[in-house]
Amino acid sequence: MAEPDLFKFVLIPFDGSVSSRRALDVGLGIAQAFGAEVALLTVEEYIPRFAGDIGEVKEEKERQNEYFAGIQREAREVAKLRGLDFDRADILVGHVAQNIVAYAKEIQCDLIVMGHSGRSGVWASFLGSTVEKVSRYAHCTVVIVR
Amino acid sequence: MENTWAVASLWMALALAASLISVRIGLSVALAEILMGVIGGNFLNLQTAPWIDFLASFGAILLTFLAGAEIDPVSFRRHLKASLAIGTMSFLLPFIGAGLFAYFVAGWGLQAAQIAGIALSTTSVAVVYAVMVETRLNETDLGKLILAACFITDLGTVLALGILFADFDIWMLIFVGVTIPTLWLLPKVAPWVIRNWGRRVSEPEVKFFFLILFVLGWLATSAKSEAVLPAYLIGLVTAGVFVHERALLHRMRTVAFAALTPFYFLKAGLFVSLPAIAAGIGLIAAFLAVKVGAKFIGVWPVSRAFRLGVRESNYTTLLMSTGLTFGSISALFGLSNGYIDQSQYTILVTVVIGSAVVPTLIAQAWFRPKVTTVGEGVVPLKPVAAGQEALSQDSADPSSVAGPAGQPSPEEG
Repeated sequence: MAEPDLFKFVLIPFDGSVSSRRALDVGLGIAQAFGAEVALLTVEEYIPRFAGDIGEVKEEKERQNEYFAGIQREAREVAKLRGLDFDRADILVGHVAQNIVAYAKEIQCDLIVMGHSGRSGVWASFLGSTVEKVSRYAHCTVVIVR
Repeated sequence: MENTWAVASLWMALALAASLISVRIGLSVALAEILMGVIGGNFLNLQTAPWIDFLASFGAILLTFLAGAEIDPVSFRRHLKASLAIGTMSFLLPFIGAGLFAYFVAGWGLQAAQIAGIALSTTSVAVVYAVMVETRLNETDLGKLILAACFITDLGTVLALGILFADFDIWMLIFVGVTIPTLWLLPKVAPWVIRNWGRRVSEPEVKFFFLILFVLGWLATSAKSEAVLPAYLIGLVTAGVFVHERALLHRMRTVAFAALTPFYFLKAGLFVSLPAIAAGIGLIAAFLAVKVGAKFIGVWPVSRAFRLGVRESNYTTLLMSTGLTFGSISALFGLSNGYIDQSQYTILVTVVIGSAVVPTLIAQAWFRPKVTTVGEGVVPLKPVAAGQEALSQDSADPSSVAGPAGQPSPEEG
């Protein structure tokens, strides 16, 4: 039987990828087993940097807000099927790993459950994956779901 | 004679490639197009033609108009004094500093030095906005103040560009005589046009704005001024109209980004010579240092005078040191009118691109105001303690801005 107080607050980074959906299932399962609170985090990575026009940034942000809000709604539906809901769900902008680490520290979660590969594909292979960076710098336990 | 469609195909292929690269790696399409232009000019023998020059000029004018139209009139009025002060110093000191450096140290001629001063005086509103979106600073008083100051800086740039090289003859009289009443009437006329002519497939309201831009561009260039000057001013005075007409602005931006600005940015990159970069790397670094240094001398004390904290002042100054669109427009104006040669153009554009990247990275790495959680969702910290009331009457978050200095960053290897 699971130790009741082992995990009290679980963070699930979620970007809608296949891997993050698996992590969502695992994360919700762990939260259910321990009676933990759950936070969902999405990071918008592809806001254009060094833009020539402010409208390019604004419109891209709007598009991504709409897309990721939809993704988070789907995640919420999955949680509801288990009789759970997210205690908080946020969308941040910028470097994915940095935001996950900072956010996790901010909300003082004790577990991060994330997929082993996200949407970063080519660059992840070249520069080192988000998961590697989060597992190295996070203040708490990190579970990587394959 | 070259086949026009063949030429168009090559240009559009480069524009498409730039677009796809920008989407994939989160780089702005402007920078991607400039880099494609560099490749095209240095390796593919890409050349312009009169029709390309026109499309590029139209793209620059429309881009400038759109830039002006994005100002937030409410927040601009609220931060008027501070943004005027910061924005003016942000333009003036680098304009003088870079101009003097180009003239006395780099040995450039007077007009080339003036172009250098103008090109390096700019601030990129778009780069600043993108940086602030990451920390949601764009929603805070500090962020809105910085953005308003950016518009003032760019106003200084377009005014300098439009006045310094102009002929003060009958055409200038006509240009001023038509522009001033137009600027006064347009905020009243534009809503009427949109209401009565708008929302048709033929887009008469878009054509109306294009007509205004063309007529004032014609008069400006007849006076040896620059068409981006009236374009920016028109954008500024009609910004209040577009607050309620975002869809119209979006349609105009679609026209610009799909069919016009690619020609402008590709052309901007086309004239960048890689051998000239290699030969002038020291001068490029020096100009970049002069730009950032001059911005610090101009902006930092004024920021502190308006009681921004030390960290916020550093952050503000670094963001105000960025430049891209207006800098490249100024440099291309100089090249097109023979005030600078290709080598000088290369140096200026490289510095402009460097100024979009380097200060941004420094600001984000070391001086970013901290983001924290307050209640539901994540909100940015407001500026610290003393003088916060100078920025906002409704700011209620007394959060600290002490950053995580010295901690390892997940962005590092």
